[in-house]
Amino acid sequence: MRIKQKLVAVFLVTSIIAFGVNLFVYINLNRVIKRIDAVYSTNISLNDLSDNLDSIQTNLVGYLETKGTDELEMYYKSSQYMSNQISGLNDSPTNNPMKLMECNIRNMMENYLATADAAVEYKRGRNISEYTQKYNECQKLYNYLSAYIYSLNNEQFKSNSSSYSTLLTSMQYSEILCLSIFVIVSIMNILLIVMTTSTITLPLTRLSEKANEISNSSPENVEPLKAKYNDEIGNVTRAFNQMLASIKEYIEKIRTQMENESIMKEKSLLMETHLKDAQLKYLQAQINPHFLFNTLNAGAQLAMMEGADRTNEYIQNMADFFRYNVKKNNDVVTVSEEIELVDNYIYTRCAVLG
Amino acid sequence: MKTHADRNKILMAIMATATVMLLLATVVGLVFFSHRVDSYNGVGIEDYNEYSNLYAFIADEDDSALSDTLYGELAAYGMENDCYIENIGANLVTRYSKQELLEIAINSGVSGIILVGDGTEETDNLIAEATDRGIPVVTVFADNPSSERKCFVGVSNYNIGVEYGNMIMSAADGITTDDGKISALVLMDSEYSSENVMLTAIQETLGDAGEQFGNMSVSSKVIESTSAFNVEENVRNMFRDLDDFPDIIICLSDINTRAVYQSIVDRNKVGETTIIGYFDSDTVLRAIERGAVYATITVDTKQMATRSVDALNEYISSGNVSEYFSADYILINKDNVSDYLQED
Repeated sequence: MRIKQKLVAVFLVTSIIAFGVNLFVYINLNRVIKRIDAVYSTNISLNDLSDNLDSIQTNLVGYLETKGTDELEMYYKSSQYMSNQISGLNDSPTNNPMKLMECNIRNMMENYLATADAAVEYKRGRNISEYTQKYNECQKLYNYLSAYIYSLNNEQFKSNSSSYSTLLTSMQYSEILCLSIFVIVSIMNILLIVMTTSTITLPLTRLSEKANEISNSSPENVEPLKAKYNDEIGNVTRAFNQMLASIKEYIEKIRTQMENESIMKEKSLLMETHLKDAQLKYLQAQINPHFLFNTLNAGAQLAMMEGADRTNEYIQNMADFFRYNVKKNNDVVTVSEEIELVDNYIYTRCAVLG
Repeated sequence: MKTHADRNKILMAIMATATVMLLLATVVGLVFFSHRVDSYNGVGIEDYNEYSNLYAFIADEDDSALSDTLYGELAAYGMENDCYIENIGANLVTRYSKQELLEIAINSGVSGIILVGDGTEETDNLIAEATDRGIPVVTVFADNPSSERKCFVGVSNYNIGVEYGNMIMSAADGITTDDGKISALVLMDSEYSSENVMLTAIQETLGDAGEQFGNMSVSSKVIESTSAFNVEENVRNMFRDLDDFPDIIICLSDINTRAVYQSIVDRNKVGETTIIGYFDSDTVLRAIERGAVYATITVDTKQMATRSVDALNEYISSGNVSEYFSADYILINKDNVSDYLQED
């Protein structure tokens, strides 16, 4: 993976983790807050029910007392509203005390509304004894209903308060939980970033250390680096290793070359010495015949001056023979010269042998 | 260099595992948390079962332990049979009379009523009103014989009276007085017929026993219980006003038994007076164990509950039910009290 991709991936992953945790926590806290808001809604609706019941009873009493049309209108409005309100209450037997009270309130309220309607009808018909009786029944039911609504309100308030405190406690716990998660996730994120960036910076550091090592000491003793990753730094490391290997190779080549050169130099010096030696010997060799010839010539001249012609001739032939040997050592010779040499040799042998 | 790279790899692996586990723990924790929040939403409101029938249970006004036990048995048996028994008035902030509770039950449109009878005409009228509205009424413990109730589930008061008579005789065997006369006092809750029947049975049993118990004087007193706490006061006043303290005291109700026992303990009369009680409340059982109460008679509340619920179910399903179901009574004395204490 390339460095850019690596860095982007790390920052993206950590950001997504942080964002996810944040979002989840936010949604949960939001839900808790909404629930807390809704905790006392049942109490509010019960209070509404109680107010409406009071309104019905007041208007009923008002109508029965004065037969006022305003009261009747208000009574009908309230009782219609009440019918709607109680339709939302539970109407089946349950083992939950509060739901059961709702059921009782609903049934009693239906009876109450029917009795109140009957009282209103009797009032219209001016049947005094009947509407008085119905009113008394209504009054009793009103009292029971008020007691029931009050008790249910009380029970619900207790239950709601318990829910409220539980929700508050939950919220406190959730706050602590969220804070802890934030801290831990942040630490983990930082560590993740540090560790991932270290995979980038650590090879660079090692590379720079190697470069320093090379510059401070002999490159031959420097070991190559290991390229673990296939990113840009991996490539640079491999290139560095190649360069190191090349340097080592060149150094080796140069060393071999220098060694060869020195051997050659030694050889040429030795040859020169030998040459000089040979020349010396040659010169020495040249010096000896001259001395010999001069000596022989001196002997020949002495013999001639003394009149010893034969001695003179012998010395002359001998001198010619040696001269030929020294002089014509390496040169091409003619046949006549060779014959002359043979003549000289025979003369000298004849002189020796007599 | 290699070890460093290895260490780095291990560290990375640990980090990755820890991160994954942390994330998992976070998600699980938050899901658990939201689940908890959900479960607390409207606690106690959403968690319930529905039943096809609702029966009202209406007991005497005082908080008798016997009524509470019976209600517990009724509720348990009712739920097994798809009906819920409501202890009408128990959750209200106002205390209502038996008649008012009957009115509430009728107007609440219950399917049936289980009533501890009191024999009064007012109750009879309300039972008639309930019957008019199609609500069957079953009486337990005590009856309203002249009402339109569908069935009475109770013990035979005469038999209980005979049992009390026998217990008085066996208790009297161990009592010696200066003048040779033994006095017994029967304390009643009311002058209502069921307790009168018991008193008559006691007197008849003692009378039939012959001369041995002929000189025993048996008197009776009614402890009025007009309000919640006055039984204890009335018992105390009665003892204060008595000229001769009775040798044997027979209590025909649970609250009387407890009040008399406490009063006897307070007056330091334990051992001088024999108490024969009613109902197996914990206090009475422990008193029997200690020898402060001679014996007690209790009714089989479980059987009574079963029969009352069955009677209502039978009436609702078939339109008919027997007029009387008997329930058994149990005699508890020092010999068998340990069985009942263990059960508690």
